[in-house]
Amino acid sequence: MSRKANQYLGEFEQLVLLAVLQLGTEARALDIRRELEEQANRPTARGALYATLERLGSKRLLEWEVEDSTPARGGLPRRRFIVTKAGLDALRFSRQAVANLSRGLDGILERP
Amino acid sequence: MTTPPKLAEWLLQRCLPDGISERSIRGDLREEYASISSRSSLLAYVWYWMHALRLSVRFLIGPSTPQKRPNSARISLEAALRDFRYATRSLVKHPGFSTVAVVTLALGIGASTVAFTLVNGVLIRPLPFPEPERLMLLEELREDGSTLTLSFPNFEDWRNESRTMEGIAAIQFPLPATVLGADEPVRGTVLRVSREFFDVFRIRPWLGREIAYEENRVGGNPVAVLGYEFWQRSFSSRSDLDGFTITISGNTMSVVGVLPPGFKVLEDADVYLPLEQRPFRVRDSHNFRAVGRLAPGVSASLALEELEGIAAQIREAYPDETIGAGVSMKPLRSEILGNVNRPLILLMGAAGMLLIIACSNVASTLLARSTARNREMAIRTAVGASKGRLLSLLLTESLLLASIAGLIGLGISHLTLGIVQSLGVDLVPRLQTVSFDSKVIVFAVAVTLCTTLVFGLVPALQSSNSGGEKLRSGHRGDTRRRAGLGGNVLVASEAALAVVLVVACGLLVRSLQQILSEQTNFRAEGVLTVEMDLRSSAQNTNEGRGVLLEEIKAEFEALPGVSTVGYVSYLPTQASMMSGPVFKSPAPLQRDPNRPGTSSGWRVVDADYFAAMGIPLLLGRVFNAEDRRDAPPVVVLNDALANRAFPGEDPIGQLIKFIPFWMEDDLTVIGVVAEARDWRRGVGGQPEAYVHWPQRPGYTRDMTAVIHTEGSPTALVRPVRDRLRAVAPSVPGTMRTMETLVNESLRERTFILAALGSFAVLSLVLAGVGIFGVVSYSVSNQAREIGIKLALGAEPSVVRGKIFSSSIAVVGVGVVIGLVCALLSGKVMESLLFGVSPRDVATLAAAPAVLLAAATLAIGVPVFRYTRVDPVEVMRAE
Repeated sequence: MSRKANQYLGEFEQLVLLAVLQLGTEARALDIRRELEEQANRPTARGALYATLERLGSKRLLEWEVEDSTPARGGLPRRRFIVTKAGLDALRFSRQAVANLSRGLDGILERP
Repeated sequence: MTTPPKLAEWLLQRCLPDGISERSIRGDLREEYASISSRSSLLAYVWYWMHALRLSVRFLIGPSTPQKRPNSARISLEAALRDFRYATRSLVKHPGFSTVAVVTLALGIGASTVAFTLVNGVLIRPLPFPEPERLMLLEELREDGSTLTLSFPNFEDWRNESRTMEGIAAIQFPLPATVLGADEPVRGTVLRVSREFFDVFRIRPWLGREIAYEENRVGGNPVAVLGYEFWQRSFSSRSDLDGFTITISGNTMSVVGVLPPGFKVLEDADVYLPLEQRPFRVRDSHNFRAVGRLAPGVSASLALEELEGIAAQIREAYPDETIGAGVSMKPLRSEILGNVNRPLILLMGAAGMLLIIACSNVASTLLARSTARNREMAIRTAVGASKGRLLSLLLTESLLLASIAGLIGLGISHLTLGIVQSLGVDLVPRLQTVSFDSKVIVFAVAVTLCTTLVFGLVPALQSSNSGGEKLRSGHRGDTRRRAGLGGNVLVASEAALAVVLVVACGLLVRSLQQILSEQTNFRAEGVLTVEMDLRSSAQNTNEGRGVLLEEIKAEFEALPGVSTVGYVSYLPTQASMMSGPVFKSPAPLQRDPNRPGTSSGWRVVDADYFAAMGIPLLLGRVFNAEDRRDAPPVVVLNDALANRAFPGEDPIGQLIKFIPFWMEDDLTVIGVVAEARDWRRGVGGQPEAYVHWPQRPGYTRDMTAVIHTEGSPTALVRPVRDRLRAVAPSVPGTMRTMETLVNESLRERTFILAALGSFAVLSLVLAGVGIFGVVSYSVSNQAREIGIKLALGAEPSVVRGKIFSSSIAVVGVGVVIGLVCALLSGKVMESLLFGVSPRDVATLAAAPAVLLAAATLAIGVPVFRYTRVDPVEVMRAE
């Protein structure tokens, strides 16, 4: 496992990466925000989402492709996000960490 | 597509990470902005600003985001955010103060934003024609410098000879007409225009085409272009122009186009017809107005010089037919907007005063609070806060207050504008097209920022000056005195402004009262009027119309409750459409500049008109059945004309020559009636002559029946319509009560009165609240002193009197200043007043009285409260 993959992801970072994976080729910022609200039931401030996307990008866990603009965007470009291999590794690492720490606690963690 | 606010975009560009991120995030915001603005542009605007601010703050100082700002910016922004949080907490902790301050400021900001929106929509926004600054209104000038409308042959010469004008269009005065072709006959205003009209205004029809050059000449096809609103209202927006015809005065014409919504040149018009299908050869018949478009790069003075040269040539060629001595050229814009400035300036001024009162109000409350916060500020200073930090903390609080108030104010003004538009007051031209745009928002933001400085700076400076040495307990004295001085200035200025507003409103109330009580010399109650266009009748000849008028009159008279029925060509509330000079016989045979005659309007009436309308007869007699077609022509004058034409003489029996009837025998004056006056004209301002319709059968195409009833005139509407349909099914009748017509003519003034009235009441309330706040605070600060005085045996009434008199003296100073300001600003008010001078003593006396009464209450309550308590209690609390 690479050094980067060892870093533990914050909860919101994990959610964002998962949303990008769920959306596949449709992972644009506005769709990611909607996905987080609808699937994770998590109202998301634009500032928080964009800052997280930028951070994940600077950690090279996410990358993006630039798409053509639409008239409603007034000629400004649109980004489609893709989870990198490092991003996937980091997600797996975080997931494993949760699984390790949850082991043997089923009795407590499962719903009463 | 609408674009987001530029300033917000600029902010984002500065704060977001560079490159593709910045551009794509702005793109996302734009996408959402577009979808929100399709529902509401105001909402989208606010939404965009909110998110731009939040994102900017997030990326500048948010935790672990890629940054592009240096650290110093980050530090100051963090400080600003801390101030913001502190200000929020402090305002939430004092909900009473916050609410009052926000509501007060919101009213001030809202009122000034509405006023600005009107000014912006009417005065600042360009006219709805391309390059309007090149459009000039052209008229002829008389020798005495007064203007004169153009004659058609002169216009033709100007049009053909001028090289400095790209085009000149002639426009006739609008005329009312009955338009057939819709489901039922409708009344509309017809404007005849020369062939360059559409080119000069560069206006293209919204539907169909304009009137072609070859149609606008003698023998051209009969065509018409409709105004958008008329087309929508009367023809249910019929979009198929094939076979779309209308009939006016018996002439059927094809509708070839519809003009864009809101198009209006000088007056509203419903139907535009080609002017040049009829020849106009008479050079001294001045009936047209002309609008020219300057050729590119040509100055107005150069064009004027050229036209004056052409006019001089005309004078030389036709010396007997030319009365014009020169050319008048003024920008069309000033002509269109000429008369609306004054009410708007008045409204804007009143709104500005209200805003200042609101600001002083909040400032005085803040000032009062600032003395209470001296300890807090002293502690802050003691632990190392600089003066600048304290100032920024306090100003942030003011900014927060002003911003919330600004948002609410914007909402209030949006609502108010909607209400004003739905009232449909014809206060300003193009009122219905007035809307919120970026200028209005910028204005509201600017006002908000300015108010922050105005009401926040003085208290903030005062508070931040409280040094650490004041921490010593027991330090009291001078804070009160300093708050007292600032408070006194504010109280005095509030009182002064309130007096100005109350005086302005009082003067308008007095004018309206005057108008309503003024002897207008005609009856407004119990009169129903029926405007009829007899051209549409089956027998449209002089005799036919005469017979029909008699029949209609007999039918109306037979209705139960009707006491008198008379006829008139135009009602007293309508300007007389017919006018000309009157000469005492013998009239000069040639035009003589030394005997210009008395200019007078004239109306065609029947014998019963004066009785039906309640116009009193002053001398001689009115018409009777003897004044037939073949009898010697007679005329009745109103006293305004009689006094001018026959000063100091008995007019009865005098002979006059009236220019419209130049070729006929002189008219004998048989009577003088009172001047039935429209309120817009002063006494003696409406000289008029009345002629008897049987002697002028050619002028009976438009007649209005005036029906006087003992009962309610509205109850007569249905039976009158039924009778009219029975006798003359093709004659359309527009029925309105005289009361409605009078109210309509008063509408503009009533609207300004209502607006100023609400400003005045608001300012009184606000000033009262402000005075109450300052006095309460100052008295509460003196509680200890009062307590000691009372404990030592001072008479409560003496103590009360002392405090009361010192406070009311401050208000008194403000009142005096206010009165001086009101006197100085009287000039602005003058044109809106009727029968009342801007120096009206009653109003100038009443306004201070009202304000002093309010101030007495505002001062009395706190003074009584603090002087009635047990002195021991006060001392103990201290």
